[in-house]
Amino acid sequence: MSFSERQTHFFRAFLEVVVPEANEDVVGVADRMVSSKPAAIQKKMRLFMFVANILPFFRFFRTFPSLSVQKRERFLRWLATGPVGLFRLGFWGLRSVALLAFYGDEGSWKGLEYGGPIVDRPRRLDLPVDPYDTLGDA
Amino acid sequence: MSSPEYDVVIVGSGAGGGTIAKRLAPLIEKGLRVALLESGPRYDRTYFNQREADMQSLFWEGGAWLNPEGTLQMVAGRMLGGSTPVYTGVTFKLPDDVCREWNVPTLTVEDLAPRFSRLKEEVGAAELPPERINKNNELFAAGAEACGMKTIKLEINVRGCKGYGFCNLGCASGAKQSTLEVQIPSAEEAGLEVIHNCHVRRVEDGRVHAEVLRAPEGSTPNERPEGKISLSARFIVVSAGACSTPALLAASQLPNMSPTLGRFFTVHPSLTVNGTHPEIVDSHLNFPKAYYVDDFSKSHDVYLETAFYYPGVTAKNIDGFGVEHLRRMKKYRHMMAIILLNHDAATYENRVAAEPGTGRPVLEYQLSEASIRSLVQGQREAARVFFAAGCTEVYVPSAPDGMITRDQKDDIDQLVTVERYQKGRIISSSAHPQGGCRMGTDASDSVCDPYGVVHGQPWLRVADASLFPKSSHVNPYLTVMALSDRVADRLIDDLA
Ligand SMILES: Cc1cc2nc3c(=O)[nH]c(=O)nc-3n(C[C@H](O)[C@H](O)[C@H](O)COP(=O)(O)OP(=O)(O)OC[C@H]3O[C@@H](n4cnc5c(N)ncnc54)[C@H](O)[C@@H]3O)c2cc1C
Ligand code: SF4
Repeated sequence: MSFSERQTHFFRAFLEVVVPEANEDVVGVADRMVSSKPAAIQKKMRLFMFVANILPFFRFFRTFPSLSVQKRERFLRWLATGPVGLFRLGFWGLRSVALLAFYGDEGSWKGLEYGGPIVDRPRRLDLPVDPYDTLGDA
Repeated sequence: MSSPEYDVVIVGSGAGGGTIAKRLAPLIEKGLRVALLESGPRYDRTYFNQREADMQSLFWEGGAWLNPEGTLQMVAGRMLGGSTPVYTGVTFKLPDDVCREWNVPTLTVEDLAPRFSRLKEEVGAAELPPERINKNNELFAAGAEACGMKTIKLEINVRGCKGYGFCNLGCASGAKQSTLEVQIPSAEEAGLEVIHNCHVRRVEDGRVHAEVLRAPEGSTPNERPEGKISLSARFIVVSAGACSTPALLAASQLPNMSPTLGRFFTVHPSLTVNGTHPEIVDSHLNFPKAYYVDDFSKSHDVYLETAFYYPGVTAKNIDGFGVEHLRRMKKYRHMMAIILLNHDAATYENRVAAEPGTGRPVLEYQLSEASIRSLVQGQREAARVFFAAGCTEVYVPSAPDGMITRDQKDDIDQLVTVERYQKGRIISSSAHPQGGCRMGTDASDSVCDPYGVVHGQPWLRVADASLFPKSSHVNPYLTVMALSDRVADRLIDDLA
C-alpha cells in the first residue's frame, strides 16, 4: 500500500467528485498505480494530497473530505483552472490516476458497454522494479 | 561477480538494439560473442492480457513519464523489444526533404532507400487489407475528404493480424512485427545471449557495469542471479532509446564528451482528440490506424493520424470531471479518435539530463509556443473532420470546457485558441523521443559521427532514436532501424 489512511480518506472524497460512479475497488487500483511510479513522483503526489486536504480549512474551516460535495467541487475547479501552476498540475495528475484506475479496470466497462479484453489471460499485478529507485549511486 | 568476454555488448533491445543484434547474427553464427542487455523484463506474447490497468507496467514510469514543467508525458516501453512490442507499427520512410534538411554527410536519400526496402520487407510493412480497416478510419477518410484534405493510407507492419485492436498494450497474437517477434529471436537462434532485467548503470572503455533485477511474476525468469555484474567487451553499442541513452552516457562521465550530449531532444508532442458520432464506432476494435493527412505539415508542422484508445486513456484525454465527464464517457463506443503529431524544432535548450547520483534520465523538455500553436491548429482541423464525418460533439481540450457542439461548428477557429491551451491542465503526450546524441562531423555540435561512433570513443557506438539530429517529422521506428543498420555496417567493418 502506498496511500496512508489519511490519503485514502482524501482520495475517496476526491473520487466522489471527480469520478462519481467509482466504487471502493478504484481506490485499490489507484493505490497500485501510484506505487508503480518512481519514489519522487509518489512524494509529489502525496504532497499535493496533503496540501489539497488542508487548504480548504483556511476558507471553510474544514478539511477537504468534510466539505459537502458541492463545496469540494468548487474547490477542485479552482485548483484545476486557477492561477497556481503547481495546483493545476497536481489536480490534473491525480485526476488522471483516478480516471485510469476507474476506466482502465473492469468495474466501469459494463456502464460503457465496453467489451474489455478479447483474449482470456490471467491478471498481471506484479510490478516491475524501478531500477533507479532500487539501486544505489551509479 | 562474473567477467565474461564479449566482442560486442548491446545495451537496449528496441528498434535500434534489435536491428544491431539481427545484423550481427551471421557473425554470431561464426563465433562472434555478443550479449544483449535489457533493463526491462522478458514477456512473451501470452503475457499481454489487453487490460489497461495491468499493462501500465510495460512502460517506463507506468506510461506517464513527466517532464519537470508538467506539459508532456512520455510513453516508452521497458521490456525485451523496447517500445516495439507496444508500437502501433505505422511504417514511414524518412521523408527525402527531411533527410536533406538533416544534412549529415553520407546519410543520403540514396543510401537509405535500399535499407528501407529491405527493412520493410523484414517486418512485412504494407497497406492494410480492406477487412482490417475499422469504422473510425472509414469515417476519418470520408470526413477529411469532405473538408478537402487528402487522406493517405498508412503502411503497417503486421503479419496475420487478428484485428484485436490492443496494439499499444502488447500484441497478444504476435502479429505485430516487433523486435521481440522478429529480430531478437532470429539473432538468438544464431547464438545471441540475451540478459533481461539487466539495467546498465555505466559504460567505460572495455566494460559495462550493470545490475540484474528481480523478474516480475509471469515474465521469463532470470538465468543469472540478481545483483551487480560487470561484463568486458571490445565494442559497446548503446541502444537504450532517446530518453535513456544520453543519460547513460552522461552518468558514465566519459572524457571529452561533446557539449551537445543530451541536447536537441525532440518528441513530436501530440494530443489525441475525440468526436462522438451518432453510430457506434468502436475505434478500439480491428486494426486501429489506417490513414493520415499531411496537408498541415508544411504550414503548421502537424500531422493528423487516425487513433484509438481504451477507456482509461480516453477518459484522461477528455477534458473535465464529475457528472459532465461521465456523460461524455458514456458515449465511448460512439467516439472517433484522431491523434495530432507536431514535428517540433530541435533546440539546444531541450535536453535529457542524468539525475546526479542515480543517473535517472530527466526529460528537460519545454513545450514551445510554436508547438502549442501547431497543436491548436491541429485541434481545429480535427474538429472540422469530426463534424464533416457526422459527429455531434467534439472534445478538444483548447475549446471552452473542452467541447464544441455541432451548432458551434462554424466558430471552430474562435473557440479553439492558443489562450485556452492552459499548461498543467492540458498535457501533451509523446511516444517518439528523438535526439540527444545527434550525428554530425564535429564534436562541438554533435555527439556521434554519421555511423554512430561516439566522437573520441571508438569503442562506443550509439544505435537508436537519439542519433536523430532533428525531428524525423514522421513516425520514427523505420528510420531508427535504418540508422542502426548503418551503425552495424561500420561496426562489422571495425570488427573485421
Ligand atoms: C505506444 C507506442 C506506439 C508507437 N507507435 C509507433 C508507430 O506506429 N510507428 C513508429 O514509427 N513508431 C512508433 N513508436 C515509436 C517507436 O517505438 C520508437 O521510435 C522506437 O522503438 C525507438 O527505438 P529505440 O531503439 O530508440 O528505443 P526503444 O525501442 O524504446 O528501446 C530502448 C530499450 O532500451 C532499454 N533501456 C533503457 N535504458 C536502459 C539501461 N540503462 N540498461 C539496459 N536497457 C535500457 C529500454 O528498456 C528499452 O527496451 C511508438 C512508441 C510507443 C511507445
Ligand atoms: S490489431 Fe493486430 S497487430 Fe494489433 S494487437 Fe491485434 S493482432 Fe496484434
